[in-house]
Amino acid sequence: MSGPAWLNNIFAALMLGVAGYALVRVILAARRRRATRYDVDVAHVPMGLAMAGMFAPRLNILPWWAWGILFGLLTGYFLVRTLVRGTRERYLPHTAHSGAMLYMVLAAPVLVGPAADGNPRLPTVALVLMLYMVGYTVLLTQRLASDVGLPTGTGEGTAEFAPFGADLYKIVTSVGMGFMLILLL
Amino acid sequence: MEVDSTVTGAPQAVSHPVAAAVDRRGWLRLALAAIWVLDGLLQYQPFMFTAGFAKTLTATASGNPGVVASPITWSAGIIAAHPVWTNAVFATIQLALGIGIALRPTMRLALAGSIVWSLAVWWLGEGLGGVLTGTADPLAGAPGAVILYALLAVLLWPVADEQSSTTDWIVVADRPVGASVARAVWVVLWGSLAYFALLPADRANQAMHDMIAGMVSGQPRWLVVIDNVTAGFVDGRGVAASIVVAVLFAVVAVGVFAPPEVRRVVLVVAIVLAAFIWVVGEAFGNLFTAQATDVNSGPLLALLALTYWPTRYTREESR
Repeated sequence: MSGPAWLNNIFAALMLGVAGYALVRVILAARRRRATRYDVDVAHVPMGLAMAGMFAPRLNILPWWAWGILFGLLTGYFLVRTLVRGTRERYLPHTAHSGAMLYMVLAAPVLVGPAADGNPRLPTVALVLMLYMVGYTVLLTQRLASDVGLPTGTGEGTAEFAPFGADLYKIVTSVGMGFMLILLL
Repeated sequence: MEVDSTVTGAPQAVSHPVAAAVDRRGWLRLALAAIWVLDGLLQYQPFMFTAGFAKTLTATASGNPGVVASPITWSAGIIAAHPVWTNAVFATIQLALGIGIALRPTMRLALAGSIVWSLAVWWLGEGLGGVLTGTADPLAGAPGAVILYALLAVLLWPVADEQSSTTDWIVVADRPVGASVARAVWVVLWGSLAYFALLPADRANQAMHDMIAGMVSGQPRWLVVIDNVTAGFVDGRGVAASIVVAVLFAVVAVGVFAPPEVRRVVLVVAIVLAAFIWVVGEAFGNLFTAQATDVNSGPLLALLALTYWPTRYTREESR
């Protein structure tokens, strides 16, 4: 993958930040008995790690086929949750994120590694997913402002744990995915 | 806020439905924000950090009057000398504009910034869309995609929606500048597209064929097929095709004065034309070539048409 190394490193650092935050979020929410979507948070740990490995190959900790299996399972899981009546709206974005990760780890070898040839694989899929990521980014961003002032650190045990942070890390993830998908066009 | 029963660790949790607080104008504004975010990400592509990007800017000076061309070559020279940091700034500004428009507290600032930025890029990055060169082609993006960003920022400026005593139709574009100005802007824009379509350079018998056929490089196979079929259809029929396109543009231009029910039909035609421009003339803004800096004019023309969409007023919708 060409382009300035510092730019790829920044994106890699952001993706590691997403993975770290999602992990910390799961732990803190469990300890404080606060509500969060554990499955979504847990899923963002491998998403962040895999994305970091795409932007900075030295950070990649698994072979692409292993990532492919993992994100295939995650996509299946979120797809089932999406099809369940009543949770469709909540899980559709995460199905898209997992599906995008599955596509990217399958397509990533064209950008990084010894087999890189730079020829995109199914660029139309990348375009559709990229447009989705951009749209999801702005939808979450407009919601971000309304999250400010919510009782994120106080109140009853049923209050959602840090909703501002939950939206923020998903925005960062979407931006990172959107950029990677553009590189795969 | 809705109750989310899917979490563990607590019987209930708070969720924030995305769509709840977004009004009609807000949706259109979010679409503009999304396009800015996309532009910002496109600007981060590796090609933009090379001297090749500056060369594409320099090329827009060609054919323009000296007073227009000189600043273009001057700014392109700076970018050529410092391609990395200048492009990093450009990309970040566009990303920030998109995020800023989406965020309610920074919306006005970002919209104002997008107007200034768009005008600067229209001049220094697009050579005023080629409108002074005699080669502006509406199927290829004339009068310049970026000027449409500025126009949309003005028409989507946040204003209080007040009940009108004289009409039962709401048009988003009418609110910030008034119906007369909004309609004048529409007529000038689509009228200019009709005019450009009939320029000698665009109505030449092979002009449309050559323009469409020249877009296929680097595109996916299905888009190549679409372009080749369309190019074959207009092969040798450039004059007739240009006249048909110009007439459609002109109908759309004057259609803004039609009664609301008819205007909706005209706006659908405008959206179809925008889609045709985007797919056939602009090859999706060349997004597949790794050298696109924006989505080009097609989506913006469609978004503009939606800002002129008349919606019947009901008391429940007033704010």
